[in-house]
Amino acid sequence: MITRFTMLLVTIVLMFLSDKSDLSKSGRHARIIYAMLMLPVLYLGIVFVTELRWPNLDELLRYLFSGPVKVILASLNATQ
Amino acid sequence: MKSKQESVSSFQMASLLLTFTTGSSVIFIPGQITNAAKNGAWISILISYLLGVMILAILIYLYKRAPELSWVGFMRKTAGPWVTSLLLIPLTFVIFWQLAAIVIEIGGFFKSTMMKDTPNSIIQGLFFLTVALTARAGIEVMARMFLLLLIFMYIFVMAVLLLASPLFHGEYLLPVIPDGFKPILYGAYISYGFPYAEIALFSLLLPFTRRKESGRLTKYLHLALFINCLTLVFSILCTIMVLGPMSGHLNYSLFQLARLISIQDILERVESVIGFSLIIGVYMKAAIVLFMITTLLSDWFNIKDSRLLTYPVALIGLLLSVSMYPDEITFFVDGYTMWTLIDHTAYVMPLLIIFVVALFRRKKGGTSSPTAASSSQNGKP
Repeated sequence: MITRFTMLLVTIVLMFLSDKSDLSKSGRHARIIYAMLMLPVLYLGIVFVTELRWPNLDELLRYLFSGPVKVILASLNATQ
Repeated sequence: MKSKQESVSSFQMASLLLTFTTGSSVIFIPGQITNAAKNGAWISILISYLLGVMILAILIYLYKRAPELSWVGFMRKTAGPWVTSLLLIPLTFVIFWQLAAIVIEIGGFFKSTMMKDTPNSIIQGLFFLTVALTARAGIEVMARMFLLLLIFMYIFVMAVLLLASPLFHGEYLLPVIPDGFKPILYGAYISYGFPYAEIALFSLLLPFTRRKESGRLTKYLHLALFINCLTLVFSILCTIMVLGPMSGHLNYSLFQLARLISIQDILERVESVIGFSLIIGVYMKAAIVLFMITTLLSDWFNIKDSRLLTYPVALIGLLLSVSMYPDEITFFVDGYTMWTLIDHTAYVMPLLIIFVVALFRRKKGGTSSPTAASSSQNGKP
């Protein structure tokens, strides 16, 4: 857990340092979008560091598409 | 506003399409399609290729109606801002999944063949770092660099197929349709999702083509797709002729095929060459997808410099790739059976909706097109 946390922290710090000059030159609108992109980073970062089985994008897609896919595969005589 | 000033030639755009469609599929697809369609796998590729040609034709038609507009700008002009946002939300989720999935694939390959004790997060982290640096360099740099890497990739794949020719057994190709036509349709279903339905994403890149060269774009893009089809068919035929019924049960079948090459005990263990091709193929595809996401988000939210979003998007992709799919089996099921429906819904359906609306508006408004009403916002070179 500590290794994962350190790895993520170093990545985020390096990212901010790299984007610092671009962020200071960009407008408020761009900074808001940049900050909004940090929300999924925060959520996924918690999932990654703690290894909690919180809902993720793969589960969302499976929830939405697994039913129709089963029908399609059944019509093609194929199994998953 | 660097990315908005960037432009590539028609030939470079076509080479990007060939890179995007062939990069990883030439290694992953032969095994999966042969598993589904057996000896008729090459027919599956031809069927899905025809669908890909139709998608490409629609793409080019829409691009030529307003070449100076970005794809998001064209959607806004055609269907209005609300419908555009409605269509872009699922597309954004799915394209993020795709970015992560591309890197999960290469992580799985490294773990199972070369770097068995290295954690996935390290492999995928380094991969994303390289991809992010490339995507941040812009489409011009990518187009120039990828052409060279694409040539290398083709040379390596063709060299392996040629060296494997002493192992060919033509009789393994028969019977062509052993279990009827449904397995072939199943194979076509898989290969339509990966790579042909993904072509719809090129709507985001086509506006970067230099307008004075757009006349040759149609020819070059169709040629690129045809070369991709030939490559996949040729790879599948060679795999079947060497591995026979086993070809459908082995992942990375070209890699397995390369392992069998032994010329007079002098030339052996050439699978590293296929490993190299796979790595550069996946790297190029991931960089193109990352660039597409930053272009999509910057056009959608009117951000002048799309490069600003590269690192956060790459970080989201990295975290998705290390937090999704605790096991490889679920990933392969989602990647090859669900993916077709997912990318058809999120990538192709918006394209078809915009195409129908554009046709309807053209009929209704005579010769008027979004070009006539275009604004400088979201404009491309």
